[in-house]
Amino acid sequence: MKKHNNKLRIFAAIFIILIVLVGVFPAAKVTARSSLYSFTGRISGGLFSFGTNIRQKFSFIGNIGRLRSENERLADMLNEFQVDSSRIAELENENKLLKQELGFFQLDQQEVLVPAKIIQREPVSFLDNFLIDKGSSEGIVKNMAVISHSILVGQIDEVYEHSSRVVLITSKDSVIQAMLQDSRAKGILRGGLSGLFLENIVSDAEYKDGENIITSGLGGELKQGILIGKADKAGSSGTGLFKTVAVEPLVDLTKLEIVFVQK
Amino acid sequence: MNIFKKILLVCLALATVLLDVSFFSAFEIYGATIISSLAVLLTMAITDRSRNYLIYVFSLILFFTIFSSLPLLVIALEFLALPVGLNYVMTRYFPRPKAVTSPVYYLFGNFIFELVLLVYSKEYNQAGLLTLSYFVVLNSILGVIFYILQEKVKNDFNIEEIKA
Repeated sequence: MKKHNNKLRIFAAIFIILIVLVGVFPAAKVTARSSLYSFTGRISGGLFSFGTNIRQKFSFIGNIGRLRSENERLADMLNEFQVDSSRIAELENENKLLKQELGFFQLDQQEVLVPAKIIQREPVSFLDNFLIDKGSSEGIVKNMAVISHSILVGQIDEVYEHSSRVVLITSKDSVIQAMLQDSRAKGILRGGLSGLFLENIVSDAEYKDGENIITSGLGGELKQGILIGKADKAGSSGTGLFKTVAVEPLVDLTKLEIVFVQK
Repeated sequence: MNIFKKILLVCLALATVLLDVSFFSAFEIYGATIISSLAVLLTMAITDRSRNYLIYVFSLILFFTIFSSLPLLVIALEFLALPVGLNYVMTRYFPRPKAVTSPVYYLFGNFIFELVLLVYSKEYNQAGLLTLSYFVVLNSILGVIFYILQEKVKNDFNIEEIKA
């Protein structure tokens, strides 16, 4: 019995040393994460896809009743977007011509998007982050924007050799400089379980329900103009000098499988 | 407990953590996900009268420190203090659980687990409470399934009988 207890103690001591090393020293944690991710990345990537497929099949069965009305709504939206897109094309042409007339030339910066697959998600509640299969060897660096369907979904937080951790915009740890597209009022976008909110908006700023929320480019971490979501007047509030605008994300963040990192 | 059983427990910890960060993380209901490693841990804590489950505990802490963004203190509270406390209280003051009484232990264990996370994340609102309730119900159901499974395995595969 005593011998058995001694063995257990030795085993526990080894584990405690490893835990302290990984938990206290950031460099050891990064090394351990990097090596374990490269070892388990494929397995967890496969399991994640398998789980997502099962969920999608079940959610499809549950949503059959809603599909008809959803289809009609999407058809209407498509018509509206076609009108918008032709108007944007006209405005782009006009903008180009005016720039040439004014002698204002700007070199078009080539936007590079790196496709990445989600291989792991944070297992515990209240923390919204996930791991993608692209890292420093693919040119990923901290604070790069992570998008899906041209909509911002998160930001690179930690970078390893062949993987990176992304903090979702809905995470309570996420702080993004954003603004209302039409009224140009700037604020700070914060996440949390109760939803997504654009805070610190000056109280006299007027905005429409459904107005686009985009990145403001302040701080220099993210480019200006990346679409985030739309303003929801029903969930908004305001007291004193500032008001808070509720933001409705345009992408279902729980259903993400593939994302793009904007370099 | 021989070395193979110890290695088996370490491998089980890695497998359950991998399942949690990949397969089960795809199923999110109101912010609550299934944590299979917690269900296994609670099953061990309420059934193991020796201290062998501590190997699984330490392995879980190590793997969660690597895979999760939670601070070490919260991980230690959740995966060490909670099961050890539950095991201590249970072995001292309560009889060995049965299939009917086991849900009480799981409900309590899962409630404390999620409550610590709620306090850590400071999400004291309606959404936080909703997540807490979904988490407790989901993971308690899984825990009871694990409990019934391990009881069945223990009864069907009696080690002494196999040896004889």
